[in-house]
Amino acid sequence: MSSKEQRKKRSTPRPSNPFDSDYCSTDASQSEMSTRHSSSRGGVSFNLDTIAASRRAMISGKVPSTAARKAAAAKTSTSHHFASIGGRPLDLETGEVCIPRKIRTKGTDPTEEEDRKHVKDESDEGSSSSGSESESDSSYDSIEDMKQKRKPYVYALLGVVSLLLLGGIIALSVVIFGGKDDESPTPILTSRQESLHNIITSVVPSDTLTDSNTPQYRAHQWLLYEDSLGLAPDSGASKERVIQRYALATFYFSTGGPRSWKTHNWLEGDECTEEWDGVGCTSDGRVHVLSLSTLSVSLCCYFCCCSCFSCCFSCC
Amino acid sequence: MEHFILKNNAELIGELPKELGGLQALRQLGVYNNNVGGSIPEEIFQATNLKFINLQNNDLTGQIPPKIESLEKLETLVLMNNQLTGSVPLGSLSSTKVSFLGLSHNKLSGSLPPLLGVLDTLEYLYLDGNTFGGELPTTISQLTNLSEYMPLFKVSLSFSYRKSTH
Repeated sequence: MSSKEQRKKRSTPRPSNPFDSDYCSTDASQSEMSTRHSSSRGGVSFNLDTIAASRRAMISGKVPSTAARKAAAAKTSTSHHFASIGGRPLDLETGEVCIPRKIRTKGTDPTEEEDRKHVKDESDEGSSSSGSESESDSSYDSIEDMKQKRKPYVYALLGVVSLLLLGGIIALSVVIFGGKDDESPTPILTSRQESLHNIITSVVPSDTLTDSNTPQYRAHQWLLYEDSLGLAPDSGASKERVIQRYALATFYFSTGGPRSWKTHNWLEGDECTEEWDGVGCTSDGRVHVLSLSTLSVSLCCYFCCCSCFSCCFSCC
Repeated sequence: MEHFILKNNAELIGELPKELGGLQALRQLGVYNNNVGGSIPEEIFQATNLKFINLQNNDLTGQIPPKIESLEKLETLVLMNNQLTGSVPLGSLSSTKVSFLGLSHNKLSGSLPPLLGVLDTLEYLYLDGNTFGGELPTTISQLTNLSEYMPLFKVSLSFSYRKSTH
């Protein structure tokens, strides 16, 4: 079966199964598929001894990490850890038999409490197995035996979780406290942004671009990072074109911009073809008229603010 | 940039940037009915293609820079309703082609020298609302292009720069 076919099969709807919700969280159809596939690859037989062996291997310290488990699960089904016992799907990693709820009982097994804890631990770690396993069926005696050996495994899991938590805390500390060492990191510019930046710095004193309060800085940021037109000097946009647009943006921000302008079509699209308010252009796209009247907040807005403070935000 | 006009913006404050003088193609500079303060930077007169300057109804202070003489193409100068002081730079204006000179309602002072007569291109002259002293120079008779019956020094004169029909 090619991987393409497998993907196709995995994406097929889950077969209707009255016990679906009682099975281990792994997709039942996936388990069935992988079982079939394993047998077709040479009749690899799974029995409880091999399960116990794999369990011991895990206990001996080779507990796979979450990431490793996920990676293993993402591989082809030859490495998938599912088989079946008596027709029931079995997760080879945990040795859990996924049993329909109707035959489960609330056992009095003294290990049950720990089992529940174990289940919780596993679900915390994102394991694919989350089903209950407090079965009392006598046909699973060897599994009960395995449970007795599970204690060290639980501790190992707890250890892994603790290590992960510790690592997370350290990483968080580095992010929070380590950032202060480099307060103004040099931004990484794309080639387009760098070209724009070079053109701007050729006409603007560099100190105005380092102070974030200057309109020149605002316009610089806008042209490099926000401008929807995305001027690209390397593919057509002339230096004059860039400077013209930068100058208009600087003018816009220096006179209050969105804070005080009544008109809102500035900085939207091309200044000439989109006919920014008050902007007149020659046929070759050169701005030759700037005529702005009453660009600041209107009297209407003043009245609005005076009469109703809360509506300031909506109209100003 | 040939026409730069900012008008009717009461919120517009600050000063005229001297960099306006770098706009070599500028023909029309209209920054009026705002609240622009400071003095008129003489650098803006480096834009020697200026024909029309209207800075009326602001809070401009200081003198009218003599450098205005470099504007050989200047036809209209409107500086009404500001706080300008000093005298009228008639000598500088004589090298321009000014035909409309509106300086009403400022704090201009001094006397009008006979030099006024050399502004032979003048058609409209508004100087009311200032504190000029002395007498009206007789050379005003040389201003043959002035509109007939143009009243000059009446305080009640309108400071409108619209073309008079009188």
